[in-house]
Amino acid sequence: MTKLLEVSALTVGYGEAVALDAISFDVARGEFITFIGPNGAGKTTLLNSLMGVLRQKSGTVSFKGEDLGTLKPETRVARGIVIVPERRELFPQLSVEDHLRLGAFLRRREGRAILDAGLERIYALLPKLKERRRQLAGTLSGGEQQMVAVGRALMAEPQLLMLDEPSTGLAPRITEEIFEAIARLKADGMTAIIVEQNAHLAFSVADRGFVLEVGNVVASGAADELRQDPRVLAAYLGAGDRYRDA
Amino acid sequence: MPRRTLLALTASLIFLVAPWLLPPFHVGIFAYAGIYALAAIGLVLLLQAGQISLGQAAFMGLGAYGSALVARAYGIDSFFTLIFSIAATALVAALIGYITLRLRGHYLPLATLAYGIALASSFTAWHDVTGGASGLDKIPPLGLFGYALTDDRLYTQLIWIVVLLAVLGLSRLRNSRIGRAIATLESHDGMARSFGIDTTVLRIKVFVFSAVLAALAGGLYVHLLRFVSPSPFALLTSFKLLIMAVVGGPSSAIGGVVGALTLESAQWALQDLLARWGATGNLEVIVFGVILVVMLLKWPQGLSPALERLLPKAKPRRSDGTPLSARTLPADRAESLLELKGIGINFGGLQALADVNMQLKRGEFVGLIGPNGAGKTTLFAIISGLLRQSSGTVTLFGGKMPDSHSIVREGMARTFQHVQLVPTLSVIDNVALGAYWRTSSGFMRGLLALDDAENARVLASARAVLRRVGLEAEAELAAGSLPLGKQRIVEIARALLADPQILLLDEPAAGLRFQEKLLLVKILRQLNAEHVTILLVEHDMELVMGCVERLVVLDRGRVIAEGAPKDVQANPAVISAYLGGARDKAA
Amino acid sequence: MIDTALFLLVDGLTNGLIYALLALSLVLVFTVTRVVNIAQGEYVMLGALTLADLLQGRMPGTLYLLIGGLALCILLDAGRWRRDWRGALLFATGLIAVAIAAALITRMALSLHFPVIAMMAVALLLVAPLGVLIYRFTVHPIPDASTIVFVIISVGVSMAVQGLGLLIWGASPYPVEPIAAGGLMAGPVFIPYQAIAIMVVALLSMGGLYLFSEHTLIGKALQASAMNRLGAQFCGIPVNLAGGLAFLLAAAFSALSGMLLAPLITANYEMGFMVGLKGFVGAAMGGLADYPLSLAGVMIVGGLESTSAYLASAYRDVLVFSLLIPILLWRNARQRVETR
Repeated sequence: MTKLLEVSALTVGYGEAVALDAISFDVARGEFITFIGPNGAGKTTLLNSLMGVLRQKSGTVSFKGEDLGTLKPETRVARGIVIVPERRELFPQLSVEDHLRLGAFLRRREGRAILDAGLERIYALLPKLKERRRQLAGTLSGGEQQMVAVGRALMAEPQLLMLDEPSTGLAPRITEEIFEAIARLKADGMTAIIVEQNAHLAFSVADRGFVLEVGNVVASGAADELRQDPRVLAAYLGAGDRYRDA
Repeated sequence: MPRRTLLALTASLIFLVAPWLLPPFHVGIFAYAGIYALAAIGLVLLLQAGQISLGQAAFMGLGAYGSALVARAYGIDSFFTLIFSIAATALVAALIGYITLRLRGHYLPLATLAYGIALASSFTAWHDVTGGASGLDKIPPLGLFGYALTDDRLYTQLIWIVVLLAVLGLSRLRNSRIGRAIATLESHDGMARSFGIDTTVLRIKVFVFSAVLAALAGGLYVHLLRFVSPSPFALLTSFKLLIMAVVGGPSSAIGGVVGALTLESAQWALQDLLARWGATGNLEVIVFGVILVVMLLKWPQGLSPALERLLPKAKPRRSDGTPLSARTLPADRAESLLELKGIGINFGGLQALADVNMQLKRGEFVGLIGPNGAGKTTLFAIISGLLRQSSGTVTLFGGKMPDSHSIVREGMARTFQHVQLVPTLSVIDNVALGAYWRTSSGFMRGLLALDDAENARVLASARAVLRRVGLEAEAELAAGSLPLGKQRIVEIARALLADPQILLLDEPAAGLRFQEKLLLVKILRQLNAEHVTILLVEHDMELVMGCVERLVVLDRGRVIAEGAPKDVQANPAVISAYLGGARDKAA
Repeated sequence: MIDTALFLLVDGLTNGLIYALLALSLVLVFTVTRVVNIAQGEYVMLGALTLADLLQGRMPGTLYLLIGGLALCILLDAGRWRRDWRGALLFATGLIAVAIAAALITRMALSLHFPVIAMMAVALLLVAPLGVLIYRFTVHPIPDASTIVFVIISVGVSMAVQGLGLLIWGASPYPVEPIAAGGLMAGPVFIPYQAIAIMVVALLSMGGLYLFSEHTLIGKALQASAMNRLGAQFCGIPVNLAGGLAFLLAAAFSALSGMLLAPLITANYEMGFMVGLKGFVGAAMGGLADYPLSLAGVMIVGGLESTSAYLASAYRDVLVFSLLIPILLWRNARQRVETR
């Protein structure tokens, strides 16, 4: 089976600093993978670079066999890679429904009926959005905004969905609701990369996981195995002692 | 004599004898080029401070009308009326600056445009006094005690003496305490404040000085021409001055001279050419407009950096003074230096921090950690005085939290998560910024180079700190050219030059390689051993755990644990905060 | 007394609506591209002089500007031929087709002696694409430059375009035929039909822009690009094209404003700059980002201008531009409160 996404030796940095150091992994169709790790580990950097917001220093990213090179974010969306960004990046003065319709911007020639059906599917998945369809995004609660971001991304009919810290800043009950929706997407055959700080949440939906620590993958494997892996805790709370006697 | 000085003297000499060598018509052009250069130098200084003016010509107009009208009406020697009009312009500029310089982003250029037009239009509108659009003639020549300067060559020479003095003064200023502070104004306001620079006042001073140069230019213009009318001070002149500053390049005062000479000669050459083709009107503005756009797209630094590369290097400045006297830090570890009680803050209904209590004792090395969105950045901003809490109290050195630009005087200095060095300044100048509050030479002392002795002491101290952190070899390099790891060390060196009792470090290891981190840890340990109290926010847990003695853990705006690294690592609440506990498991 | 007030009201409203089209253009450009466009007023001049040429049966110089600009565009694209010659060829052919179409339409309009309204449409076709070209030349190459850089660049554009106006049309003023000559008496006050035409056209075009941005997907995409550039990119919206579209629409609205204004004051090469700046004074009221507040702003400017022209005509510009500073201070303070 061919891989949907293949990343090899991806190195990304801001100016001189190296934020990701030669990361390699791949994602098969229908697979959910997750990157976990504390903040500053490079998780968001990874997604931003896959999305084309940050330019890579070296390494290759290929999607369906095509080298993405320096393609702009909007072109990557056209190829089928869509992100739910960490900061959501909504349009405060536009309504919920406007967001969803704009999510399908590149599908605008598919006809009203098809797009309306897509809209209804999103409303079925995230019923709260239907209640709020006329409300401006700027007036929504954090959880509702997160749902709008998810709904907007799904309207593009992504082949690869990337979720950046979907639980950040949300109350546990809302987080649960969003992860239920994510689990249903998985059941429907979606392919996704989830970046999370909350390891338990991430493992609850992912097939495979990677543990990032300051720009390097320090552990990887099936989600169920990683759950018990002491290296996960070490990545978060620093078990090494290289600095102790420096 | 150093080659650079020799070259500068030769160039100055050429400028000063040029009026006697040029044909009469070109003397006039040369004189006007000097006048514009003076006003453009003012604009260059503004650009260096990250400001912009689309109304510089209006200050020229104030200087011109002020001197011309008074000299014409009262028959006072125009030397004195010129001084009067410069002083009056300075007052007007101080008022305008006080009002408009608080504007940010696109509001500031619009405001300069507004007063530029309003002032220029009032020269026309106030017909009874200014003679309206047709202007006033019979303006007396520049004179002092009955002697009148009517010889155009002598006058031109005088203009260029003034220009050369302005260039000399401003290049002196650039290497002074105030010059370093001015360099921070463009994009490092928060950093400047945290090192004790009152950026608001400094901005106004720069603005006034720039207006003074323009007024001087305007005065010299009007007593040369001996006729005054509104059109030379209209918007087009402001635009031309801006082009001069941009073409010459804002990086040094010479840019103003280069720009003025380039543009004035281009203008006369073009007009000559166009006249031969039978074209009339100011068609050269097409070329000027295109030059301006192309310069900004392709060479935003202007011509002067290229010129600078051709010149011999300046000799290193004196750094042989006795280092500044530093405070001695007591070894006593009981004293509480910083205390937070019940700190809370809201952002639009979101409780970012709630009831945070924390204490920092003398000589401690404390780490502040927490997962994403825990409120570390917010708490750090409150501690460093950039943000005010909505509830609770902060006690620093037993007193109330002072203004953000007074904190460094009290003995607290910080580094920044995103490196806040001025990239174009040398490493040693960046470090010297740390000593801003410990020294006192002002704007005038810098211009007149009266600050040499103090500056040498500052540079000696800066050099000593650089030696200590292992960066002495890089002292004269531009800070922006260093790799990030070294830049972060320069940030620490700068904070050390502020002679702090408490050092706040905001993610000092972010983006560093392992060897660089080792060096960082070594420096921090050494400082702590010398009784500097350190508060560290950092993501690299291995590093934090390896060097601090005590940790404070935040989660969702609250302190959830506190204690030695070993205990914190085993604390179930901390583990759950980072990895997600049972409560977060999805169904 | 009452007729004076009524006269001032009509006069202020007419001025205000002309500035409103400018303010609209400025807000559109600023929100989508963050460019504070000092050169916006030059499209007013281009619109007015193009219309003057067309109405007097001359080939407008704007056509040559457009052709020159398109040629420069092809030239700047030269680097692409090696990488992607098909795309480059398509692009060049497209631009040449645009140039030929513009020339043909202009010829036709001249030989068929179109009525004023139709000539205005032709003038719009010639001027509006210049907006896109200027976007391509000055903003597109450096999308992340600072506000100050864009301000200085737009100063350069303004000088160059005004100079080109002088080169093409000379310094003499051109009379422009109004959409409708004459007027009517409303009680004691004479209202020229042109004033009514200005109101109708201005309101119609503002309404048109409103419908476009609220009820079409492209309009929404334009709004989205203005509110959150990154978010728009994540929807697949090509934000560069959005910037070009904003410049296009803005050029069109400003040119329209020039064509409405010209019959009142005659057209000349320097007429645009001040009109543009007065649009700024109004738009500043809404921080360059708020349409309704900008409208209120330009109405204040229009009213103030009429009143001061009546009371102290020499000080008109002094008053109008002095007003800008308190407006900016108020906006600045408000923005600070909002970011807190």
